[in-house]
Amino acid sequence: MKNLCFHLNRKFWITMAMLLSFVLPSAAQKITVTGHVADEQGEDLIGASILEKGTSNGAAADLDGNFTISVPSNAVLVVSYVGYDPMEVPVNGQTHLNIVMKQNATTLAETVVIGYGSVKKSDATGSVAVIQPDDVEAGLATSVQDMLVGQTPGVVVTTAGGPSGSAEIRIRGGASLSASNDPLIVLDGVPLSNDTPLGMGSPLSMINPESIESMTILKDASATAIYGSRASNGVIIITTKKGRAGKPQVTFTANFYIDHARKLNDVLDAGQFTNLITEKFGAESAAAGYLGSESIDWQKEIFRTSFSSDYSLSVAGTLGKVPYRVQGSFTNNNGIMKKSSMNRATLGLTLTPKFFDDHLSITANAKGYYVRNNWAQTGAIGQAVSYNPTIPIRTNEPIVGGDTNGAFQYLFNGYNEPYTIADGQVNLENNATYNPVATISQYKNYSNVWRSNGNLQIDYSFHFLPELHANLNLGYDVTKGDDYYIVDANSHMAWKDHNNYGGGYQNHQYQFRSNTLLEFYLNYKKEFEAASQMLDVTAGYTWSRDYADGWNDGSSSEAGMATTPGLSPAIVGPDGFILNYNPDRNLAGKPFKADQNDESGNYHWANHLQLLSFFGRVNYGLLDRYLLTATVRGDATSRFSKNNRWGVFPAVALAWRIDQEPFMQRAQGVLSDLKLRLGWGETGQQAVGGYYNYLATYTPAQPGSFYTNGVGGWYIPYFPDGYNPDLKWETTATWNVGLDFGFMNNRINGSIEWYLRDTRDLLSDVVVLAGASTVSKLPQNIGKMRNYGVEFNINAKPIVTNDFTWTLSYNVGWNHNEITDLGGKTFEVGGGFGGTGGNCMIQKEGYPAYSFNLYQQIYDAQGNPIEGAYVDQNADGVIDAKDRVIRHSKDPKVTMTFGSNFRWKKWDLSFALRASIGNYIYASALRSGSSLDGLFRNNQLSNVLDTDFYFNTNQNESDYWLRDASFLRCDNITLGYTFDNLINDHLNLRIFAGVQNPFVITKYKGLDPEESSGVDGNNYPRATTWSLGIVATF
Amino acid sequence: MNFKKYLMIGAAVAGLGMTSCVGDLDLKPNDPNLVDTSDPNFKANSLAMCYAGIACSGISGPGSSYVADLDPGTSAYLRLMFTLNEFCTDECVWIWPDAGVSDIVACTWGANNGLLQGAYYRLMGHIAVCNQFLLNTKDDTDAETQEMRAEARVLRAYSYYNMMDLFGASSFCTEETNGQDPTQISRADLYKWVESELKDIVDNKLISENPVYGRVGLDGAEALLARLYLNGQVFSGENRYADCQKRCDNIIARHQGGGFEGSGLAEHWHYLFSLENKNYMPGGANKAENEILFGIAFDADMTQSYGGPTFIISSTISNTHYIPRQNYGSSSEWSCLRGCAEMAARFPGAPEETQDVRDDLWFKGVMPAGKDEAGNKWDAEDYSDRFVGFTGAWATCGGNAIIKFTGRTANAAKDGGWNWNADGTPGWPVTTFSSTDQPIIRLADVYLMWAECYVNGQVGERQKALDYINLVRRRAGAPNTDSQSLTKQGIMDERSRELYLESTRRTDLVRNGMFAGPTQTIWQYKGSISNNAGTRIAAHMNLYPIPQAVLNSQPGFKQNPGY
Repeated sequence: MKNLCFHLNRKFWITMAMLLSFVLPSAAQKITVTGHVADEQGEDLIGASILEKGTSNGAAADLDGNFTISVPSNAVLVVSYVGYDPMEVPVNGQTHLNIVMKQNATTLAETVVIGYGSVKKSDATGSVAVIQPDDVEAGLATSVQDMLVGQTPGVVVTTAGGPSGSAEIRIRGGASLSASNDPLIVLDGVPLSNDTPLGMGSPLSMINPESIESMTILKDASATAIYGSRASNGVIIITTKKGRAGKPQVTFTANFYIDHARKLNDVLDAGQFTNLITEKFGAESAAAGYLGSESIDWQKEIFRTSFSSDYSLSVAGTLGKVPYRVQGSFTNNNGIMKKSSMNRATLGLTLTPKFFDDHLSITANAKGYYVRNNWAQTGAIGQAVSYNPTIPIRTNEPIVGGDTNGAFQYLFNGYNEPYTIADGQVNLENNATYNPVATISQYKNYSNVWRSNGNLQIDYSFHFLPELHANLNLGYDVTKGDDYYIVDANSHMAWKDHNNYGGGYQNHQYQFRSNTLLEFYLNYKKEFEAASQMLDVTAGYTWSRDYADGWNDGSSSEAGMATTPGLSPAIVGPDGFILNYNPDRNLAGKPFKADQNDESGNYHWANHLQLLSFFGRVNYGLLDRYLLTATVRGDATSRFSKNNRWGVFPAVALAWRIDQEPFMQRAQGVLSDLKLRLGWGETGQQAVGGYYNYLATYTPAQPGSFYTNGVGGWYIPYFPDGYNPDLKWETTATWNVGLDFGFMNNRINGSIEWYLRDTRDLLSDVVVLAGASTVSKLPQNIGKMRNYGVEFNINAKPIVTNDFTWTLSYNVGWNHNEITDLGGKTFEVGGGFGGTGGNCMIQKEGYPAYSFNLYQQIYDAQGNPIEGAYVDQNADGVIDAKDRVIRHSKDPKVTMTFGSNFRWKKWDLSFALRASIGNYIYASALRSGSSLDGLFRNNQLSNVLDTDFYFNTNQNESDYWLRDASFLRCDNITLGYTFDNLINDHLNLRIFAGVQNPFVITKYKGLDPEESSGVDGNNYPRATTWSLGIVATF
Repeated sequence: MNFKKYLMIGAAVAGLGMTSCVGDLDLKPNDPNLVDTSDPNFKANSLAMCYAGIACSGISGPGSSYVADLDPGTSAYLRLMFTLNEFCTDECVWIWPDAGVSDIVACTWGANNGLLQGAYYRLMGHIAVCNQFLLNTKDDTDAETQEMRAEARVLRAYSYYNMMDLFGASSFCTEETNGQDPTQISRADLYKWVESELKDIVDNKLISENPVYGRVGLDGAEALLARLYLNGQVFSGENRYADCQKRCDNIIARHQGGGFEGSGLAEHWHYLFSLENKNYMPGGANKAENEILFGIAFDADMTQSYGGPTFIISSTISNTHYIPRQNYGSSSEWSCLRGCAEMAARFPGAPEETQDVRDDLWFKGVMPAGKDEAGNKWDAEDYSDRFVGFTGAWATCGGNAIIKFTGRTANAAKDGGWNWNADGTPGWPVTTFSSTDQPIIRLADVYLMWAECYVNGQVGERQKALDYINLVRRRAGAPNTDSQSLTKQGIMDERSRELYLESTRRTDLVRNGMFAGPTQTIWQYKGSISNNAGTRIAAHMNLYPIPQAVLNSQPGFKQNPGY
């Protein structure tokens, strides 16, 4: 890691030095001009930037607002200051200038998109964060979730390693135990379903970062309550770019990426492994007989350095009277695991015409996406960690007398696999680890997904009462996907799944999802200037229907599919053995997973969900400083029975703009914003389990689980599904107190917030009382949970001069989570021990959700753990469940981000750091890779991790595996250069280079400390991405 | 202003829509996989679920399970019954140090053992399936439904019997308490309830004397009642040997005249555990020899499970090289299950030296090489490397592959031989999943129960007890024995020889005070993971603990003493 940084620094400075000498302008003959910059109130504007137009010659106003600059006497000065309209001042030979700047109108009127409308930022009463990505940020991010990372306190984004871009987003830690903790995502007014469509990552991964105008994150209940039932975990409102007036603007971006795994598992190399085996078993042992002379790094064989690219082109303008924006993009993202890739093409069109003197505005959005994913078989990662490093990848052991078509010419298609030969048969070892290279090269899994979403929003402001708007929004989101996998004949997978005859097989899944939405609301908004009052009332209704169906064409039958033609029933091997291929296994006439259209329709599935809501909101402002928001929403879901169907979610918020008070006038030069906010609200949650969990339903069994009818036929057993008629809304009540502040015209700004969040009737898929249901787990309303925390963020521009701007942002969030009531029950969760069950975490009253529950390891004098020795907490002489200790939780206590951006002339350099403190991990991969009992079994040697200590057997329940996974990660470092006004002002060009995820500082010894489940299995390693990008606007 | 007009109309329509749309919330399931009680096959298929709940781990084939968080195969009903009743005894061990299983093998389990939790939920889940059937049919008075209900009640009683046997106190709920939280019932009260259920069904003849193949009838219900009475002392503190014997008499009387020496036993012992055994099931083709009184039917294609006979056959078939799996009808061998030395010692002499056929398929002792009965070579292996979880070597038991269940078919003569092809290859199907059925209670067991009642309860005639033991022995080709067998030890050894791998051993040992506590025999490997010679097992381990997860979710439940 240190090396990496060193290289980066050196390269960076050399490059800087070279480019500086190239860019620096030459000096010319000038006169000296002095001046003073102030605003309309007469306040000095410290640090205002003064630039000679068309050059990079500039100066900055000092503490008294004065400046001095040498310019030609006919020069034009460009004066700029954050939050003010830039001015052009001709010198005309004057030697002293008094410049008065006007406050920027758009800053004053800056609005924030909130649910069903928008408010002036200064009038917002809730906890709302706005992300308006500039070209830099948009160009850097490979996905929308990347743009969310570290933007605002309390928002934790954990991205997965693969190329398809799934990510888990948690706003203030999530309110639920095991119902969905995903925030609601509203794209251009259409809430997206959180059900992941087949073959896709999160819904965000579909959206091209470049097309984003703004994202609003609603964090507290007073802001989210307008979305009621789906808003317990916060709301992310995404607005895409629209058409613009004037001549068409074309933007082209291209990005190129090189990815490699930041870190791989540290396993024993061939030499170390050979030593271990001979030391443990003896040089003459049976085990040592399995040692080879090769030296293979199996992880290197399945991972790669990959090259990816994406391109996007957009045109925005006005055609006739219709503003439009068209955008297309293409992404080719290759994963660091061989054979994994994602190709995506998108096309989007937005029209925003207005009619009848702007009384009627229409927004029409339509987007289309095509995604093709190639999935690597990730099971190969675990195999690569433990596969014997001393044996070759391929043996190419030919089978004498192989059939004439060349099929089965090599056993296992030539790959080295664990098998035995006896009595004329080849037997693949049943429970062994298989060749990882064979796994990824002989398993093909791909999906094709088509998706379209869009909406038509009609907003009409009444001719007789322009303050009254009627808004109708019709939205849709449709996805169709196919997923295929094919397993090669004669591969170890085929041999294993088809019981040692090696027939290949394939599978095809199809899925269709649709989501339709109708929303209608009326909005009345008026400012009564005489009385200094503002009123904004909204009332509306939404109707939303989700539908999905699909089928699985499981030709994963015993008969299989001979992907290699001409399989021969008897192939004699070199030792005279016969491949145990049996051609008579096609179970003629029996529907063993062969027919997906059998009478019971077992291989079709479908579901649907109806949501209905009525909502209303009042915003009231008095004297521009006292603000009130009251919201109520009634929500109904088809997931619950008639009695529990409706939930009502109210919210109230107050805000006080202290800076507008007369007594604050004296501070106004320094203080630009001071607002106190107080909010309370309730939100709901219904997304848990299946679609009909309150109804008694019955599922017919599939073939293989039939029972004889006694006369040669079969009964199809009807399984009574588990159901819970009492299922009802989970409700979260949130208190929020916030203080927004801004100094020196918001050159320093930030906010501090405190929140308390109580969730009751927690929806959780937990163990049922034994005997109360046919299943062992069911969604239930089980208890109460409390979150409270403090968030602080600050943005500052310590240096603003003509040539140099330094922007800093820092945010920190602290969250405390505790289960406050489970009716005395506890629930073990999280798994982690592998094999036959067992859970490393527990949900218990008085502890944070997902606390670890393990034995306390005893250590010897050298500090090594003593195998099987644990602290007998209750001193009863036996180590049992009562001796487990509950401590630490998977979730971080504190999250922080720190970002910095330097702009020097046309250069910019930025970096972002992110820290997580107090998150713990059960190191499951480390556990299984640090025990010696699997070294030799199934006639096979298996590798272990290169680690400090080895147990003889897996010590599952030891807290030795509970590790502090606090970390500091560098999310990105970027250097860019902008060429303004090329080709007669017709072209703006920006070029940048960056690196994402270059280093992580952590004590944690596993692959990556960032693991949202708290159990670190064999995960896809996160990549380090080197990128080069270009943005051209003309 | 046409546009405005349309807009107003549109708004009005939307407004109307609001009120009518509330009805949209009553969504009926649209999943074609779901059925409801109106389905014409609802009743028959729901009853079939009560059987499939014992046979299969889930409803989507052998990889599925409705017990969460536990491997479907490991948590299959019959496999759990096998694991919890065989591996902790002196009959056999599971040689892999698999999580949870090792503690059962070494008798070192605790309340957080995953398999015990799996068993508790598996059994109670099956009870819930039966309860749901009984709830859905409670108003149907027709004779056919009444008989189906009786079957469901017997199957439910079987699960409650297992709860009582394994855990003592149990969660309790019936179709009548639907919707209420299950309560904890004491072992003695549950005993009374199971007894009343079975007595009602048997004495009122609510169930068929000639059931359809694969289902349970009067014999099965009464045999379960006899087994209940046999263990009456343990379950309720009440000696019920006389009642047990009476029930055995009823069953034996119904089988008089057929089978081996007119006893109703099958002529050939091995066929009872092979593909042939379908004929001996209730409702099976061979009415004269339908020795299996209560059994569960399997099919290699349609009724698949990693529990049941598939599990027993695959795991007893030894490591690849030496026991050709196809010779036993299985296309997989798991090499997991080995007989204990104590088990081997019950059959004196090598296979060829004894006439007792019950160890014919065994690979006994640690010997360099030998041959099985089909002339295939076999060998004992060193399994010491498999036992790294246990200090010291369990190697000595490694050689005892005790095969009992197979997928073989009988030869044409049905004289006890097998259907080998002329070229020496197997004449039976070789499949991944077994079609062999699983006997749960056999008539031979009933004869031995009768004899044990005499020995332990001093009821019935001495000669008859001896005759019944010798009947069972003669059928297996073993010579008659004298009064030596009419001792506690003698009857226990005979039961083990006859019923090994049939999931009765732990119950038998507990009943006779031989499992845990002061009178226990010391067996190798048992009592401690680190002491191969074995140590005494604490008396409280005669019962398994109530799983911690159950206590966690029902804080009012009491743990069994000692845990």
